[in-house]
Order: sequence, then C-alpha cells, then structure tokens
Amino acid sequence: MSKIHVSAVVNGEPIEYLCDPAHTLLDVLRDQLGLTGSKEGCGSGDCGACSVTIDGRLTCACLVLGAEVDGMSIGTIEGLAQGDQLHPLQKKFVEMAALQCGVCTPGVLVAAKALLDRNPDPSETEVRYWLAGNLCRCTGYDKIIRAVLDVAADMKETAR
Amino acid sequence: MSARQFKVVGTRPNRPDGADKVTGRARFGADWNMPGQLTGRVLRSPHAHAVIESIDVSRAAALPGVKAVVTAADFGEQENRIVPAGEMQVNLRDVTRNVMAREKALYHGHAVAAVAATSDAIARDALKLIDVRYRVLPHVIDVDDAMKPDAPILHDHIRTEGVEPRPTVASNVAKRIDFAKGDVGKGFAAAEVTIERRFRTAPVHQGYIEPHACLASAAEDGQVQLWTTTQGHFQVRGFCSRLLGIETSQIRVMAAEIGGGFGGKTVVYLEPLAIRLSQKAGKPVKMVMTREEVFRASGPTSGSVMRVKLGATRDGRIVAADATFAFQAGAFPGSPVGPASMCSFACYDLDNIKVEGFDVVSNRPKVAAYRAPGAPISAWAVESTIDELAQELGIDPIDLRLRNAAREGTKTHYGPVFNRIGLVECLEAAKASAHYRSPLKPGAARGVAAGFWFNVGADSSAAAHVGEDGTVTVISGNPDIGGSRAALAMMAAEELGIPYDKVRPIIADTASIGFNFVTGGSRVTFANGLAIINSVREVIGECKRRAAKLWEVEPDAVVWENGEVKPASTNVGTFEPLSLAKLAASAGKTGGPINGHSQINAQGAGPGFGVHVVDVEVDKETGIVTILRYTSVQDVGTAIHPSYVEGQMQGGAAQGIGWALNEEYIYDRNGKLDNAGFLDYRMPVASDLPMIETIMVEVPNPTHPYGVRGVGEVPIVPPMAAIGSAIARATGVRMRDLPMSPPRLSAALDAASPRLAAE
Amino acid sequence: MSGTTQGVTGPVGPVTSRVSEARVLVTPAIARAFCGGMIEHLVEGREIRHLVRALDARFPGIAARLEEGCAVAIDGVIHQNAWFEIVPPGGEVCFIPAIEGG
Ligand code: FES
Ligand code: FES
Repeated sequence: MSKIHVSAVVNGEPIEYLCDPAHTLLDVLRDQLGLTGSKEGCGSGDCGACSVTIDGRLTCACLVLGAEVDGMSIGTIEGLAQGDQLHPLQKKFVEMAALQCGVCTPGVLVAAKALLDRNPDPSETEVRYWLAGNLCRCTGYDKIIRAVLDVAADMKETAR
Repeated sequence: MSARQFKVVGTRPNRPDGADKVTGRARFGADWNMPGQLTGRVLRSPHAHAVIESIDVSRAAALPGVKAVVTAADFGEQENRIVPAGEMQVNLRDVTRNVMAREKALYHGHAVAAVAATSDAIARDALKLIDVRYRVLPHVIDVDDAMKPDAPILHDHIRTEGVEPRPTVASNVAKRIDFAKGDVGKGFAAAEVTIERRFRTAPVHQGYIEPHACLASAAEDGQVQLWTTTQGHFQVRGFCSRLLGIETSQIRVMAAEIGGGFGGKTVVYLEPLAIRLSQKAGKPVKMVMTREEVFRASGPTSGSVMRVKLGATRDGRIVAADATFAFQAGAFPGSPVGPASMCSFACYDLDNIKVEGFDVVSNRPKVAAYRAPGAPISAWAVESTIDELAQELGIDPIDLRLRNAAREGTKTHYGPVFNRIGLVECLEAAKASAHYRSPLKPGAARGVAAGFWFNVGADSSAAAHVGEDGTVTVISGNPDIGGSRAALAMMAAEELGIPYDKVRPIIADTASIGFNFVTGGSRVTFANGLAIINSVREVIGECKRRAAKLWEVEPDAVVWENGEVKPASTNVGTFEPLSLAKLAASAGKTGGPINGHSQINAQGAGPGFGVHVVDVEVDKETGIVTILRYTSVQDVGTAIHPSYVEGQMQGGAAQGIGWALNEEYIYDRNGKLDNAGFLDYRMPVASDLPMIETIMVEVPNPTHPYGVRGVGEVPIVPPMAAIGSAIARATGVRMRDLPMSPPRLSAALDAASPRLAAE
Repeated sequence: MSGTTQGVTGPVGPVTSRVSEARVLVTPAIARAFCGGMIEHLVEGREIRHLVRALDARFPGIAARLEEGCAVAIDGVIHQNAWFEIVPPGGEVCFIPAIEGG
C-alpha cells in the first residue's frame, strides 16, 4: 500500500512525513519522528500513556491514525518545557515526587496541562475525573493530584 | 542505635532523574533503537493445554522480509534441577519451556515460535504462516480442580515434594510445605472461641504500565548487547547465559529506565528469544509485548484457596492458629506459597501455630513475583479471620491485635526470633491517628488490618568516584523503579558530609559494575545503600591517608568532618582543612584518582510491618464500594527520602484496593483468558480513590548504619483484609472470596438479605 | 528434641577460635527428609558452614539442601548465603526457605 503524505505542526514546528496508512499517530511520533516521550501502555485507548493534544484537544495518540492529522497541530510531552524552563507542572511533579517509575508521567502531564488550559481552578474531584483516563500503577495518584492542585493554586496566586 | 542527627537523610530533594522523566527524555525499554534493527514477534498458543505435534516454519521463513524464525529447537534442553541463575534459584528445565513451549503448550498465550522481520507488519504476517499441529488436551485452571485426583496432569514427572514417602504417581501438587510451633491440638482445647473460615483469591497481574520490551544485538564475534526493561539486569544476563549457552562476559545488559515492575520484571520472557533471533539474523532485534501479551503470558501472582482456624480465650488471647494455603503456581511449579505461609501469622506472638501450604500447577501463565510475594494472599485470609474474631469477642480490632502482637523476642512459627520490630508502634499509631478517632459518616464502616514482610538484603556492588573538582559519582547496579537513585545519592552525601547536589548517582550496566541482585524484596535502599555507604567510607579513608601524608602526620591524627579532612586536635598541628575538592585537585600528585568500591552480601534486612485503616461505603443495590478514607501506617525504619517512602505506601495501598475490589483473571470454558486488556481488567483510576494518608513510624533497623528498612512490599499486604472487614462491618456480610467486585458483592448481599431481614 | 551433641569433625580454622554449640532448627520438611522428623539439633561450629558440615556428617545429604534455597536466621537476623557468618555461643540458628520478593 502506498504511503500517505502528511503535513502537520508538532510542538510548534511544521513537519512533513510519509505515513503507512496502518500506522497510528503514536507509531509515527515514536518510530518516525523520534519523539519517544509518548509511551504505549496498551494501544487501545485505556491507559493514557500516549496522551497528546491535537488542535488543543486531549487525545490518545494510539487511537488516531498518523494519516488523520494532516493540517493539524500536535502537542506532545517534548513540547511542554519552554526553552530551558520546565513547565510549572513538570517542576511541581519533580518537587512533589508525583512520579515513581515515570512511565505514565508524560501522558499525565500532557493531560494535566490540557485540564489547566481549560479549567485553571479545578476541584480535587475534577482533577481526579479528568485524569481518570491516565493509569498510574505506582503512585496511588495521591501525589499526582496534589501536584496538579498545587500548580493550579500557584497559577491563581500569580494571576492575582 | 543512638538517634543520629542527619543533614541530608530525611529531607526531600529533587530526584536526579526527575527532569529526564518529566520531559520525555528518559528512555524506557521500548525507547531504544539501533540502525538496521528488525522487529521480533511471538506466536502464542491458542490452547490452554495441548501437545505440540509439529511446527512447520518454512512458509514463514520464505516470506520476503523475514530474517529469522526460532522455535524450541533453537534452545538447548536444560536439566530438571534447581540451579542458580543470576543468584536466583531456578529450574532451567521449566524456564526454557516457559520462554518457548517444547513438547506441550501449557497455557493460552504460551510462546510457541518467534520471528524477526524487517517490519512489524511482515513479522505479524509471518506468524500466520507458521503451521503448528496441536493435539488439544483437557485443561485445568483452578487450584482445587487441579488438586483433584482425576485432574488433567500438566507434567508427568512431578511427584509431590515434601510428602513422605515420596508419592509414585504424577500430580499437579508440586510441593507441600509446613511450619509448626507449639501444639495446636492443646491450644484449641484451651480455646473458648473457635472460628474456622475458607477463602479464595483470584490471580491478579502486577499491572506495570510499561509492557516488556528489549533490544538485542548479537555480533558476529559472539558478543551480545541487550537493552531491556528489567528489575535485574544481572539476572537477565544469568538467565540468558544459561538458556543460550553464552558466557556471562560475552553478554552486556543495559538496564533501560523501567516503567514499573512490582516483581513481574524479575524473570525473562523476550530476552532469550531476541538474542537468538539476532544471532540467526545477524541484525539487532527489537521486541515489545502488546498489553494483551503482557496479560496472557507474563506475570500474574497466584490465585488461592485457603482455610484459617483460630482459637481464642474470651479476653482476646489467641491460643491456637491453624491454616492451609493452596496456591496456583501457573504452568510450572514455584508459587509464593512459602513466603505466604511464613508471613501468615508473623504479626502475632502465638504459642501454637500450624501452617500447611501446597504449590499447585495449572494451565495458566507461570506466576511471577508480585510485591511481597504471597503475603497479601495469606494476610487476606488471616486478617479477615482475626477481624471476625474481634467482632465475635466484641473487642476493638486494634486492641485484639495489640493483645497478640509480635514484638522483639517473639519466636515466629517459621523459626527465627524477631529482633527490634515496630508492629506495636504501628498499631498504637493507627489507634491514635486522627482517622481512627474520627466519627464515621452515617452508613460507612471502618476496617483495619496488619501486614508483614521480611525484607531482603543480598548481593550488592557499588562504587564511588571522585571527579577532578571534588564532586562525586556513585555507581550502583540496580534499576531504579521508584526513586532509589535519590535515596542512594542522599546516603552518599550524608556520609561524605557534602551537599546532595554534589553527588550524581548512576546505574551501571552489567559490564561496568560488579554483580547486583534484583531490585526486589525491598532491598535496594537497604542493601545498595549499605554498599554505597561502604564505598564512600573507602573514599573518606583514602582522603584521610592523603591528607596525613601531605601533613606528615599519622593517619589516625586526622578526622573527616563535613566533607573535609582536619587535624584530629590542635596537638597534631595547625593545618588548613582539606576539602574533597582540594584533595581531588592534587590527587594525581598524591597517589592517583580517589575512588572507593564495595561488594557485599548485605545481611540483616529488618522486617517491616504496617497497619492500614479504611472507611468504606457500600451501595447495597449495585455492590459498588467507595473508599471514603484510607490511612497507611508503617514502620519504615529510617525514611531516607520521605516523599518516596510515602509514595511506596500510597502505591501499594492502591494496588491492594484494586486487588480487593476489581482485579481478577477471568477464563472461559476453553481456558482462554477473557479479560486481557485494561478495559476489562480494571485497575484503580484516579477517580476511584481518595487521598491516601500516610503515617511513617520510624523504628530504626539496628543492623543498618542509618536504620534503613525496606519499605516497598509491606504496603500491599493489609489492604484487602482491611477493606473486606470494613465491608463486613458496613453490610453484615463477610466476603471471603476476592475480588469483592460489584457483581459478586451485590449477589452476596442479595443472598444474605432474607437472612439479615429475619435477624 | 535432640539433646545429645554428636561427634563433630573437630575444630576448624585457627586454634584461637572458640568452638561453640548452637541450637540449629531446620524446617519440618527438611527434618522429615533427613533428620527423622527432628527439627531442633545441638551442633558445634564456629561459622555457619561448620554447622552445615557437622549436620551433614550426622544426616548425609542435608548440606546440599541447606546450602541451596535456604536462608539462615542467626539469632533472628536473616542472612542469605552466609557460609562465613559467625555463630554466637549459645546462639539460635534457623534454616528457613530463601526469600526473594518482588
Ligand atoms: S497506549 Fe494509548 S491509551 Fe494506552
Ligand atoms: S509512576 Fe509508574 S505508572 Fe505512574
């Protein structure tokens, strides 16, 4: 089967690739573009380790075909930090030990940022439900939830 | 041990691998690639039990793009004998058969052949072209069925061990073990109350989010390089060396960052296949399991059938305890029934105990270690029965445990006497906790349970290298699953008296540091920590010798304080203190680089105890259990990095909550696993849980310089019984089978409702 | 309970060493297989390996079983692979199944 030509924007950079029609966006990111920060935990949309944003919408990259994102803008974990500055969520996750093995972390961070982008002041329950699609087997979620709430509180503080 | 004042230990610095892990830079098992690599895929048995009559790979091998195919014929036969492989005691006959089925496929998902091809698509197509002729045999899934005399037999050579005289007919019961203390007959005769209960647990998976993955590169000169996600790269080397007949020095294993293991990544599945495929193809081979393969072919821990009988006096003294534990081992012998039997009553100081355990094979994947292997299973039975006893006697469940608690000097039923342990302190802390003293929300109920794990030490090698500027690299050989690098660097900084950020910890490959046992048994911070402390002490000793030489004084006339060598007293003379940086700068002139190293078999890992308290609410219509509040109390020895200790306590509790309420392997009539995915094998998600409160009790381990005890295993031991007891107290219905999933619980509530209504 | 101390292969190691007698416990399964069911034994030896050697003289074949797949608790402190570990005079030495863990 012939490959499909795709032009997209990944983490702000215009990019072009030829894509096998059967390959998912996750395959393309990891195997073609070398962006291995997004992880494959299940390949079926159940774990959230592959979370990315497509035109700002939180999506499982394993459920989207690489050929589907032509003309769209993709955000991955690799685009979260700005230059040499970690995103406040990234900083807080390290400070508050919100990761153990860290394999869920890229997906959790992308999802948490998507949450704060649309709801800068979420309640604990809102954070828990928003992140319910991101499995973490190590932490019991406690420190993850606290870190997200803490960043939200800091943001409110600076906004004042 | 006198209470030592720490500077670094007990603080909460950022972990050294933090930035890499929050930016996506960290490279896990599936993130390693090599030029020209092939993709490997495994053909798995569609039958639970079948003789493999023939395998024809010719059509697959002929497919363009296929570069190698392997079957059991590519792996030498191994002796039916327990041998050390990377320090683990394993039966290589069984390991080689688990890695690749030989005469029989023993479970649905058992590897039968593997291919390496230029693309994943070609590899998958090739699998379809492998012709396997199976003769399907009757299968057996559950423990009690497997123990029946007419059960289908998995292995004709197994004669139950531990029964005298040794039986002469084949059985699925591989082993019987027993432990005893005192005289249970006498004990029960003196009991005023006796209760006997039966329990079951379903097999559950470790559930690490990262699937097994590796990349093997075998060169033409016989040297092998392997990147893999594992809890023990030295064990991987040992296994591959034995299974493939390659000398250990020819295999170099690099431990990738590991995305969770919980015991499930202490064995090999893909690695020997990838190496053999790479050898045959002459190209690097990468293999990654799908989630479905992870469920079908790796890990889980045992399902079980258990019986517990307790006798007590009315005032709450337990006078006799008797239990039977039958554990499903999967397709090959080796369930954790041994540790389960030992842990069962380890929390209690009882005069009369009898425990019997059975290791039973059945047509399921071979079990792998799962966090405190076996202990949570026997604790489910024992702690639930203790709670029922507390209800029966009308005694507070913590008080009943305090009345019978193990303490320093208690002789366990498996032999040893405890030295300094912290169970009583944990029970008292739980009792005094804000949670335990808080009133219950109407309709809610509270459960309590205790748990024990031995903790282990074992072989560890470490080194400390001082750089030219006086900063230090500490090198160890255990994959870091949950922040151990930070803890090791902290101990090095503490010992040296320098800031944490002057120490960089790294995890070396199998060729760059001496042997290390697996990351498991809660050993790394304890045992590796000890090796790191020793290697740093060597550095300090060397610094003192150099300074003494420079000052032309006796070596014992100098001391090490806060990262500097100083004269021991003014009598020695007045010399400017020499910092690590100064000594490092002149190291070449004073005798060469300053390094230290240590290799030990760490002994005396202090036992760990924990007590969990949980409040639940039960929706009686649906059987849905809501965890309202959860507190985990644990004796952690000394918390090196308290955040990561809390993390262990919280993560273990969450896994236990999943085990209690939802997780289980479900098989269909044909012995096929029905729920091999995260959608149907339901692990806790963020919205299922409340915050998990932690209370760290610190009873230092007297055999470690900083008092470290392992902390990773204990937290998964108490949750199931704590939750079951809370449910029993909320509904009046005591569940004895796990999981207490909504359908099961609502069925049990329905069945009990006429009875409860009548009461 | 085994109260008698049977012949030991003489003191091993430097003459300055003190040979002591320890209470050695084996698991019921090992006791049944090798020791006629007897769990507790009084054995002389300076190091764990000497105890194992002495037990093997008494119960041929037991050494292999004690050295592979067993951990040993010396006065309650668990050791794995502890050939050279010193046995404290009058101490209690308990052979238990080796523990791995997850
Ligand atoms: S890999 Fe995409 S959701 Fe799991
Ligand atoms: S930190 Fe390991 S899965 Fe989340």
